[in-house]
Amino acid sequence: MYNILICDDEKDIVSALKIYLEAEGYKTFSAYNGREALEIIEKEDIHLVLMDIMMPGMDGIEALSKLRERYNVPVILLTAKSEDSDKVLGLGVGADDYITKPFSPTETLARVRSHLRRYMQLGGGQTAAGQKQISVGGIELDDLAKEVFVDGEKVNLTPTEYEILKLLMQNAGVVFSPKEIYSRVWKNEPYGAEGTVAVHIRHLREKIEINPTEPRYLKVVWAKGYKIEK
Amino acid sequence: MKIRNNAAIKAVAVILSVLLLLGTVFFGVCAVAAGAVGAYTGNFKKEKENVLQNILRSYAYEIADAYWQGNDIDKLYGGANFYYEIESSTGDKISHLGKASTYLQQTTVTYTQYVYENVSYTVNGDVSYTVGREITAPEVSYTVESEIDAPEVSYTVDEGMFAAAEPLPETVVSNTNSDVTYTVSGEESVSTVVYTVGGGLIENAEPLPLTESPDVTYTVDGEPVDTVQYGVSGEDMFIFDDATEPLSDNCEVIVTYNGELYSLGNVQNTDELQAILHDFGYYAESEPTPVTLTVTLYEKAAKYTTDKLSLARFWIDAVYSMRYVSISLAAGCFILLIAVWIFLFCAAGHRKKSSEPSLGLFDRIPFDLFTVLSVALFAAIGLGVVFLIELIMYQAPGTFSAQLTFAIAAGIGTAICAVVLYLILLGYLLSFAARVKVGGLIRSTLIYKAVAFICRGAYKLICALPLVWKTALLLFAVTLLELILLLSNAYEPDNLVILWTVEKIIVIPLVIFAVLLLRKLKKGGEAIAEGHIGEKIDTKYMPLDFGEFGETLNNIGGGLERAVDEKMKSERLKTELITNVSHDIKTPLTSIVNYVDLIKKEEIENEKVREYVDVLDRHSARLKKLIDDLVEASKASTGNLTVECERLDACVLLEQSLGEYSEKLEASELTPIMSMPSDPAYIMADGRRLWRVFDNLLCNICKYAMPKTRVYITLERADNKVTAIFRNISRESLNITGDELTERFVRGDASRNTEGSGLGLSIARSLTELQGGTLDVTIDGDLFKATVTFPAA
Repeated sequence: MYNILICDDEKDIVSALKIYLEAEGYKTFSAYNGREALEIIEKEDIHLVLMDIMMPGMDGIEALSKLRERYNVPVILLTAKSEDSDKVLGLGVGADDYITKPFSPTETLARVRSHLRRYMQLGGGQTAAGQKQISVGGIELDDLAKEVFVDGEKVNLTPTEYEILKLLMQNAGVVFSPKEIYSRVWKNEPYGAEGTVAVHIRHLREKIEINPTEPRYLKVVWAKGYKIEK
Repeated sequence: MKIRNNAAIKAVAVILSVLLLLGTVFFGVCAVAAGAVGAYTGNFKKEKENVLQNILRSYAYEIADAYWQGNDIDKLYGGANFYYEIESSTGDKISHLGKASTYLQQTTVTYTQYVYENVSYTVNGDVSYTVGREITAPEVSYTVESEIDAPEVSYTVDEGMFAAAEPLPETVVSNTNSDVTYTVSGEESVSTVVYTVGGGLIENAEPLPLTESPDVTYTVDGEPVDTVQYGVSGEDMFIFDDATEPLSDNCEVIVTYNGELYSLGNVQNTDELQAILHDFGYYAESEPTPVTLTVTLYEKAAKYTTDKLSLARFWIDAVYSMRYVSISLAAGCFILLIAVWIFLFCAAGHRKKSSEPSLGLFDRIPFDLFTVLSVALFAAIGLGVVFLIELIMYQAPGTFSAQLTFAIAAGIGTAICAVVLYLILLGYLLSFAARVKVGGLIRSTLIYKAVAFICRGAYKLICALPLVWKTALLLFAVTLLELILLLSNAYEPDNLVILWTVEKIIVIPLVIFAVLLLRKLKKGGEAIAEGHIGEKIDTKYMPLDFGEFGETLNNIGGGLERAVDEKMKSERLKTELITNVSHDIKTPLTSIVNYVDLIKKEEIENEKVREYVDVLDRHSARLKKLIDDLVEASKASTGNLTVECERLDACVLLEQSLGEYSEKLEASELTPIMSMPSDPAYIMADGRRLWRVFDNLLCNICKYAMPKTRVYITLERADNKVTAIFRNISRESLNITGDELTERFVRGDASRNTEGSGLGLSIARSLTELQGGTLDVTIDGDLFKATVTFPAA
């Protein structure tokens, strides 16, 4: 039973989110501007905040920076602003995630689940014991059991996908070109077969990312290759 | 209030400076005089006595002279501060001893005068003098006469020189018995005179008498003939126009001495005459009798009087006793004077109620006029003073006391005039200082104003003339000048070469200067043509039409710049508007999307409602896409996106893009046929943006390609270019051109109104162009071909 604070000046959006979240079994609190949100956080034990940026009175960015002075609850920004610079600003002030309007309810729910799991169950930054375990962000790879968990949930991968993920996770932050990935995973000389790498990457992304078109972990570096974000 | 602003203090300072100047001069003269009498070197007494002795001696000579001239000495020197004694060698003795028992000093001089006995002389026989007294006749004229008996007279003075002389009258020449007399006299010496009488040379003709500069007059039968032209020759040659012009100075001197005649040669003036006579005195056979005067003077030990001697004694003593005080006072006055001057020059131009120096009434007179007026005033007063002094000097009265009074009055007058001159000079310099402080000294002059006015007028006139006229006029003037110089120097090739060189030296730099200006203008014009409209041509040093043209170019550039700025601004506003509107649309859209989803989750029994919900769902999704595309399209078309180009391998990018689309292509039942070089194909592009281009193109293919056909995706590298070609067969027939397809909100076929925004190709093209590439869409029947071209890197 987690408490989720929903903050948006659009009451209909707040009630829609309320319906979805309560259907999932969360307890929700509603606020319609930043100041109200801060007041509720003071009073209640909030586990996750969904917050709009553009609000009358105190806006989301200001409320977030005030909130971050005292709390480290996960905060997901909901906003109509979709510029890169807006995202950078929001994440820079202390948001954990960023969902642009118009968002799909399913994706929002998935992200809420993911963040709650990481915040409440896994604990920020703690890695599970075992040398054969690699963990990047919310992904954990157990090389002994050949199992992969994303935010604590087991994901079923094909052997090739697993090998690609393992390679990228072992070298988190390093960009691998399709050719390199091919030669390292398939252990063959790449003769025009790199196209298959792209397809596998796409499958892998669909399995480990909430929104595959805006990946959090497995990123495409266009014209260069792929990498797992550190 | 500052002292320098106070006019009263300045007036006092000017008066003070006058007093100090007078003090400096007075005490300075005193100090110098003290030096002259040895006041500083210790031999003052000796020098003092020398000075006084000299004064007394000069008195003695004056008295001797007065005696010689027969003047009354008592009358002249009665009031003088001495006694005198005169003894003549002829036995005369005059004395005015008075109480000569005590005296301060005495001096004795002897004075010898030669007295010529029985000497008289005539100058050309006209004027007679007696030697022994001064010659008072300033002008001497004479004629020398001689008579020649000659039946026929013609003459030459150095052959040919009389060519222009009027011949003797016919009657004279033919009448051999006429009594011809001529008189010769003249100013210039004539060395050789030859006459001919009756055509033959007269060998033994009597030379021209006693003069070397003949002035010839003649009479025929006693009748004087007036105008005869003649010439003379001598060491210097002269031609005299008129024989009747009388001679005045150059005289023959004949002296009768003891009944004998002596010719003493020619003299030019009375000084020479006196000198000759003096010499003659020694030369004469009989010595003149010397008369010696012995004059003895004794200075009275009286109190100071207004006598020259006692005054000298008084002043010498005064100067001596005051010698150090004089120096100190002179120096002090001088230092103070300098200080006052410095103050006056510092204060010049400063006035009440103003911290800055300003010009007074006189300072406003143009400087050159002011200078001329000052100099004129100064010169007028100065020359007037000099003239007055000269005038007064001749009128000095005889007795010493009167002279003294006169001298004092003249001194005071001179001092006043000097003060006036000093004030003029000081005023001029102070005005100069004020003008320098305020500035614009040169610009205030009439000459500058006149020159500036003329130059400005000429420049305006030149500017006002039309360019063609101007040029024609200039060329005409140059040609005319050339022609004049050419004609006037036609026979002097050397001059022509010099003139030609000078012309080239002037003309060539001018032409080069004009060409440089043209180049500058050309560059400016090119810069504008290339789009560097912010660049301005520096027209500061461009004369006449060049400057005007430069300004015109600048104005064109400025106009373009403004137009471009306006355009940019409006584009930016448009983008901002679209972005803001899209933000506002997104929020209600979120509610729609969410609530449609919620409705879908409800148990809906009515089939129709479920269908309607599906329509809502589909269209809300499309609206979402439309909004995103709209924002992106407006940004891409206005260049409002940051593009970070780097060196990329297009092959890898294309592979990755295809990887992303593999499922979708499969779902659309399309078979991609890939063809790309095995080597990397490097281009300069922004990976993220280029992916959007490929994304849009592949998305279009998935949407619009005929199912169960092949899609040809080719990457080529040729001619330094990398080209990605996407070809597919369209599902619907395409009845518009490729260019139209890339316009905004245009779709290939009206029937496809349910999917897409109609912005995809437009966005793709804008993004490609932002990265420096091109996107061409061609349609050949059902064949749809999109070509993305980038220069190879």
